[in-house]
Amino acid sequence: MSTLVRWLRALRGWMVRWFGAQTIVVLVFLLIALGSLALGLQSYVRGLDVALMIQVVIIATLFGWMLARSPLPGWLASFVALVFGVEAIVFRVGALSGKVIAFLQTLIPLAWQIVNYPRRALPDATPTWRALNELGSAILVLLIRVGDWLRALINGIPAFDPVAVAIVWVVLLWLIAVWATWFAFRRAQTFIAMFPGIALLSAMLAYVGGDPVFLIPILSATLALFVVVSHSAREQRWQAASIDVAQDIPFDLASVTIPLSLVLIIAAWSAPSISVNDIVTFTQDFVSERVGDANRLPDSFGLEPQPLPRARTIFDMLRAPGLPRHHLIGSGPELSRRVVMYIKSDDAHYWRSSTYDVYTGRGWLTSDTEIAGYQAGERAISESALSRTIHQDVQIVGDLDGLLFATGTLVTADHDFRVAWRAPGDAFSADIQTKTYHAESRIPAVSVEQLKDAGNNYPDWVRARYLDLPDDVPARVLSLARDLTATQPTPYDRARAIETYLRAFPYTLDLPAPPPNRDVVDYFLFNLKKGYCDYFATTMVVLARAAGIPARLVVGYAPGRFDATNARFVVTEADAHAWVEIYFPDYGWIEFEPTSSRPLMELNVQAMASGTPASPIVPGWSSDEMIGWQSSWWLIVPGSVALVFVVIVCGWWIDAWRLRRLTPSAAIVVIYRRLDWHATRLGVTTRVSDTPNEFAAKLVHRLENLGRQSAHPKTASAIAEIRVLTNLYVQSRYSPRKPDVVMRRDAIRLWSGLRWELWRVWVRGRLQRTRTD
Amino acid sequence: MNQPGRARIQLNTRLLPIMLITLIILQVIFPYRGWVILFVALGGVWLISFWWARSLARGLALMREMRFGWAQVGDRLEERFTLINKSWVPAIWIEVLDHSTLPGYHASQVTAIGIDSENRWIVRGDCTQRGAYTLGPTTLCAGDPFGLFTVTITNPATKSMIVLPPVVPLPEIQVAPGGRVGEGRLRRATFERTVNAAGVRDYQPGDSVSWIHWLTSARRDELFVRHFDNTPSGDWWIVLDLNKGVQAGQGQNSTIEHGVILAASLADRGLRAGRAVGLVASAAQLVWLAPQGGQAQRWDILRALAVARPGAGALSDLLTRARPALKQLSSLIVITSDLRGDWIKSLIPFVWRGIVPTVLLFDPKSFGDNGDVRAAMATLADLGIARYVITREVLDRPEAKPGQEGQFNWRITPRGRAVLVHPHHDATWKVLS
Repeated sequence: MSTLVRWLRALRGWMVRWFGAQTIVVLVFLLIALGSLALGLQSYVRGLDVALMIQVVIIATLFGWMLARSPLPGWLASFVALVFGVEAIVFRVGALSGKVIAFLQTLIPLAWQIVNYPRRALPDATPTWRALNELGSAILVLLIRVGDWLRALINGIPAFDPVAVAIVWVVLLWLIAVWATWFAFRRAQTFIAMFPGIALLSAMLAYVGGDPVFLIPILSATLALFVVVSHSAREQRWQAASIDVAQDIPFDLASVTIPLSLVLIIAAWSAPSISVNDIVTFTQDFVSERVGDANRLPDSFGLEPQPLPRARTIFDMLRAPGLPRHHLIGSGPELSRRVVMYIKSDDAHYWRSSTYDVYTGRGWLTSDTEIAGYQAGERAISESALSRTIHQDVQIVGDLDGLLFATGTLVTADHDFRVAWRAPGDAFSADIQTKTYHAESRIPAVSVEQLKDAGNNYPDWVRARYLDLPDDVPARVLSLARDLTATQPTPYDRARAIETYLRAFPYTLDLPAPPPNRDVVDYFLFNLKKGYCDYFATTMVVLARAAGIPARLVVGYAPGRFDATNARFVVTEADAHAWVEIYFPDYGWIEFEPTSSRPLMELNVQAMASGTPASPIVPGWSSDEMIGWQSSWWLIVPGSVALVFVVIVCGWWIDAWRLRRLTPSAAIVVIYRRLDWHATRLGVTTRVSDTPNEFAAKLVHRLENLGRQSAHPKTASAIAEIRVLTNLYVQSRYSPRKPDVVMRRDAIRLWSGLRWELWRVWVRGRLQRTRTD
Repeated sequence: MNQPGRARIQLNTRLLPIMLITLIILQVIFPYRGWVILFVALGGVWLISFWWARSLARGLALMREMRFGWAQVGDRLEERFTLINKSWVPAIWIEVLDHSTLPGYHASQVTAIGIDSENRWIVRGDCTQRGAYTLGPTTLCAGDPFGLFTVTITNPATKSMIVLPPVVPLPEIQVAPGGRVGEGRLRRATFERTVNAAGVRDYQPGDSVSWIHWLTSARRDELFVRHFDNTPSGDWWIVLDLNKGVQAGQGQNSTIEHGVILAASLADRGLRAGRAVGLVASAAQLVWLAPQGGQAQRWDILRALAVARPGAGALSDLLTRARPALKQLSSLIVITSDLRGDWIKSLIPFVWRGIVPTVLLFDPKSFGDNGDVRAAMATLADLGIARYVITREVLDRPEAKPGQEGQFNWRITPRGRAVLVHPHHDATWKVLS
């Protein structure tokens, strides 16, 4: 423990020496402000991962600080920040690191083959090309998704795509963080630095009607930054001018500004709460409470009014808060081989009893329903051209509480029946007062291609009900959904990707009870990593909704065993099952099977009418390809460093091009100013009254001193180059004979070499100082 | 006495009031509690900061006083700053920015001051370079604690001061007297009264009536007579070569500065010996002071040397121009570092007139440059001209250290008491105006 404390103290000392105490204070306040922005966004934007947001804030803040300390001009720094940020975020949100690793892994054997080429066979670049192709395809898919989302946004079509949304918000957060850090350190302008963050957070909170408590940390940090940044800038100015400074100014500032800031923040938080309307409402509530107490005086006489009794239906039992079925999300189903029903049908189907739309984190509920009664033969829904009719004869032999079982969407039955509707066309469940009945239902007849082309233009009732998730779904669940589906181009592909991912989990009935107050999906995905149908189906619905795909849970029975003698399906209690339905515009609900112990669902292709058999759905993913981003996030760093290097080289090339475009005098003046900038950074103290030659003498003297320390041969040539550049500057400013094109070329050439030497001297000085410290 | 200054309050971020107005509009159109929180917090900090800055602008004042109105290189300057805050708020930081031009003098400072209080501090600086300088003006910069406003108070009070070149003890230099004719027969220089009045004194019996100064007599209502400098018959003409093309060395170790010191010290020596001393220098602006005696001439010469900057005029031209002004009895002293020798020809007419020049020639080698004085010295010897080689070491001796004004030197008595060795001539504080 003491070692840890010593280590932490040493780390703090190193940080203070390297960064400076004020830099650390500014960075801390920036992190507080931007962190509150990230948390505010994560709280009200669906699908954002708090860990990702915090990572972005930290990296962007440090990146912005490095940019501010670098010599890069504003436009180049903006370009670098944009390129680096977008690249890193696309890789991170798109979970592309697995493909990057695969690509890099193919490079090693390829390089080996190339090295040994003369002795061995011709190098085989096919694996590399394939990996590169996959990586490119994934990036292309991501771009297309973002493009589709943007197109829908521009056209005013509501379209939620969690990956596109995550990329947009995270890039926005990145840019705001870099902006804030840049302006705080480079320009010392706190309000301009914090303005975008405050504006975005307050506008977002106002739009969603969010809790303004998120504004308090960012406001507090902004007030603190006002003080620290302005004082830091002043101190730098005083230090540069060698002005004596009273040592206790920071303490005086703190003693004045901390109480003032506290008062301001408390006043700001309290001000909206104090209103005449609130006082009136409070008074009315207080009075009515007293009156209410008086009206309950009869209680004293033992007269207790009772609520009116209401008959409970099977729908009430199914709808009751908690678990929809006894074995749904529980400690493990107690199943038996007891037969519950016989069903005659032309094909094997899942026999449903009810569907659920509200996930609570602990189980399933349904929204409010309205019960509609239908007479025998009466149709509950209208005809649909894109569906196929299924007939089934059902004989109930177990205790199923009068529930009506049928595949797909129930159309009608040969006895009177009732349907509980959540909305027109959105049935919760149905019951029938007979044990033997004939039911007619419909299932969608659609091909994979049609589903892929279905798009995501969902009706409002679907969007409102079947994309909803509770706020306390853990961020890693949302993050996983985004990672799984980032590079899948269509909702159908995303659903299949989730299904395939879940089908890699083993099936078991031997499970402990989930801990109380623990999200079931999170528990299944990250702790159990095995389970039975209810876990699989619940998890797929949650992941699908997190990925922006409308989904619901369906419970009922699997097809059962086919009794060829009687040409019927024998359904036992062990066939009790839960599965998933995904909504596709124009086609309705399509069944998916995430439980690994069950075979994949087959689509009922419309073409079946013409005799073409339905093709089974082939998974597009293998479990081996599911590589978490966490294992290879570091790969982005070297890639980004390489990219930044390329950008810097391009920047220098552009700079040389720009200097060549200037007039000779202007180019030489620009170079001289840069020389001045380097001199300041090397610790040369200049005065306004210094002549160029005096300045050059000081710089040369400084370089000579540094050169003696490092004994580097290039220093002598650098000194000569400084003198030549100074003479050129003097000529360009004061001589009637202005420099010509040749002189400009010489100046650019000299500067191209000199700046490296100045950089080298500076870096060496920094390193020596660090070692000395 | 407080110096009234022009106060200016500057808002450092114009975006803040724009945002406050926007928040009001948003609250009216689209009410939300967050707008009010932002408005109260940001508006509050803006209001507090403005009130703070306004109080400082009205309540801050600075008084600046100095001692020792004139100075010589080596003297110490002393200034007293008094900062007064009569506002309701403390000034947590105040930049006192001094715009003085005196080299090496750093009076700028950052300090703090409480409510209704006064801070006083003294700044000392050494006069290291001759020249004409200005003390002041001064700018006060302060602000609110949040840094939203900057208060700038400009105090225009200034004072000009001249730092004179040092006068140092010289080594033995014999200035050749004038008046040699033919073989160089020496005429004795006799003292005579000149028309140069140095002052007035009470009338004494026996004084000539023509000496009475009637204006003073009328004002004082008693007789005063003019007091004349005793001027020798042989004047000293000091010709200082400040042609920048022939100088050696850098900064204070240059032949320019040593030439100035040499000229000042020679002039002082001549004046103390009762001679009329004149100065001609090829500075950026030609210096031409005809020979006179007395204290006034001493100040004139020192002042001219204090502000003299290198020029482009050649020594030979200077000598040619000076030739008609020199009388036969005059002594000519040439101070130069020019080794080219073309100016030596210009000395020959002086020799023909019986004026034997004394040449003080700087040795460039001792100042770090190339050049050999032997050729020029041989030519001068051939012409029979008095000559001396001046090296850097001649004026760089311990006893040649310049002014002591303002320096506190203490002597400890055997009983342990500290006694001030060099008391100040004038230790009163003078307010800059």
